Amino acid sequence: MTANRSDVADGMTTYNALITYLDEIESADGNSAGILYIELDDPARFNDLFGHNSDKVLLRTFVSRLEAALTYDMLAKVGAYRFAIVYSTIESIERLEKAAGEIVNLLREPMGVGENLVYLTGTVGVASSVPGESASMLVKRAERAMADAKKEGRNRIGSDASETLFSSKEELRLMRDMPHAIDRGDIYFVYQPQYDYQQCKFTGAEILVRWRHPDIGDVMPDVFIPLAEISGMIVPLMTRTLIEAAQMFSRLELEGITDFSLAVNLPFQVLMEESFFHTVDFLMDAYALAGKKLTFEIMEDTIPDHLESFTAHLEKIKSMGFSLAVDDYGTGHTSLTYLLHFPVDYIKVDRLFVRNIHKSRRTYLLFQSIVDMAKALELSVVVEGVECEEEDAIVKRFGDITVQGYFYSKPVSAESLSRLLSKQSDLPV
Amino acid sequence: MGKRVLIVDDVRFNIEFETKLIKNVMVGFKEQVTIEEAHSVSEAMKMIDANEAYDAMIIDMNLPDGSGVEIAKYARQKDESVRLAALTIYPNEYEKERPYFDLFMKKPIMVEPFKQNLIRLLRIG
Repeated sequence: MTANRSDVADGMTTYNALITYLDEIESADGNSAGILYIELDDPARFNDLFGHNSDKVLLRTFVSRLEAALTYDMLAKVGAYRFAIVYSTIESIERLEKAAGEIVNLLREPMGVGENLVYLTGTVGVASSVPGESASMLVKRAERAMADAKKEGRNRIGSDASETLFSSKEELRLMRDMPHAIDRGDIYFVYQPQYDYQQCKFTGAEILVRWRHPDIGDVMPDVFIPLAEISGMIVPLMTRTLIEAAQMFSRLELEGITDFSLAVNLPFQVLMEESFFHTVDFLMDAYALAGKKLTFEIMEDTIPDHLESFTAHLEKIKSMGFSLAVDDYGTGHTSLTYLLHFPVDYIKVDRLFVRNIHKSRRTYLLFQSIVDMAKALELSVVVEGVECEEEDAIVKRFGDITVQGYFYSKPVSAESLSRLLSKQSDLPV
Repeated sequence: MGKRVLIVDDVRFNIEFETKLIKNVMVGFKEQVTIEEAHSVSEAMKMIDANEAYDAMIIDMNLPDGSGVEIAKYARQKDESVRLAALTIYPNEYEKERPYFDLFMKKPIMVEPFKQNLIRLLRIG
């Protein structure tokens, strides 16, 4: 550790130096690095009892005990009562969990403040690096693991759940190949057409992402999207999706189809990135996305910590002239919260409420209540997963809604969508 | 007068994306720009021979007929002052080649980082 990495104020390494160090070791070799993220529970509460510098005394004691008990590559102070410990090479997550256990044991020893003995409590989060991941994302994952563990109680250890994602060699490989796949077009797009009952035609489509790996074959989105979120590749992937949308709008315009909407999934992580709006601004101008009928779909299970900034970002999308939809409506536990707080234009009712609707009275009643509520709130309704004639016949009774599903069309290529639409525009209305 | 920029990439999507990004930045700075494109090492070398000097080049490292490094060496020989950026998914794999380039840009291209790098490459703003 060099002197210029240290924070002069308290002599400890800072967050920025931590990130620089993590970047260096990532470029040095292909090994996994490990991070322990520690938060102590408000040591300042002892200041009222034992004098105003008590927290500082406790922190010093804690740090010197850490230094004595553990061998690591870097210790950084990343917040008032937060620390990060780096192991530049680790063989397994268990090694990190063992070290985290030692920290929790340290906390179980009483500490002296003047003549008093007190106990500090804290929580430790653990995460190991994956290839291609940014340093800040690694730290963020460890922090999240810590925050999750904290909900369970004190002096606990949390391991980043996404760790298990990388247990298989194939997933590690997917992570490594993803930038190349985005660049070369192995990750591509298909369109799920949406049929409007009132107009008796396709009036929109949802853009879905697919990956055909040259060696592995088709990779499912529910496998690679979470990997993209962890590695940060979700941001360029989103940019690609929006460019695809812009190009499809232009293509349809050339064919004389202007009244057509496209929907894209917007991951929470992308929405909350400040750079997202710069990107959309650029695309509105350079790819003529401005004024197009584009909808951003948000998973309803996203529960933001910072409601205000989340709402502000949604409002911003609306102010740019785009629409908002709640995806998979009814499956999460935030459905009503969404409708209460956020400026959404339509809901996409999950396929769960349509499957066997002709056989199940309960399904029918639930579906009816969702549609009634949406209409009362003046929200449009798109129904996912209409797969057979019987389901279609029932859903159709609800009138002014749009459906998507295999009964009308499976997801199709850009060329097929364009053919499908030009065929229907030939039909008499 | 404005700047002359050569993009070397074999992926059409990237050429279009980079072109739009460069134009977007230059409009912001009220600067003129002429953008030309090449799709391989050999084509890029021909263009370097045939045309007046470029102000900058953005070179994909992985081209069908060789490495972007060959273009960088060639361009540098012809014109010491040309500004060269390497575009690659794996910047860490090109440690030895760093001296041939003024900067490295990462793929897949992201809007903001690309624009910032371009401003540095062209020394504008």
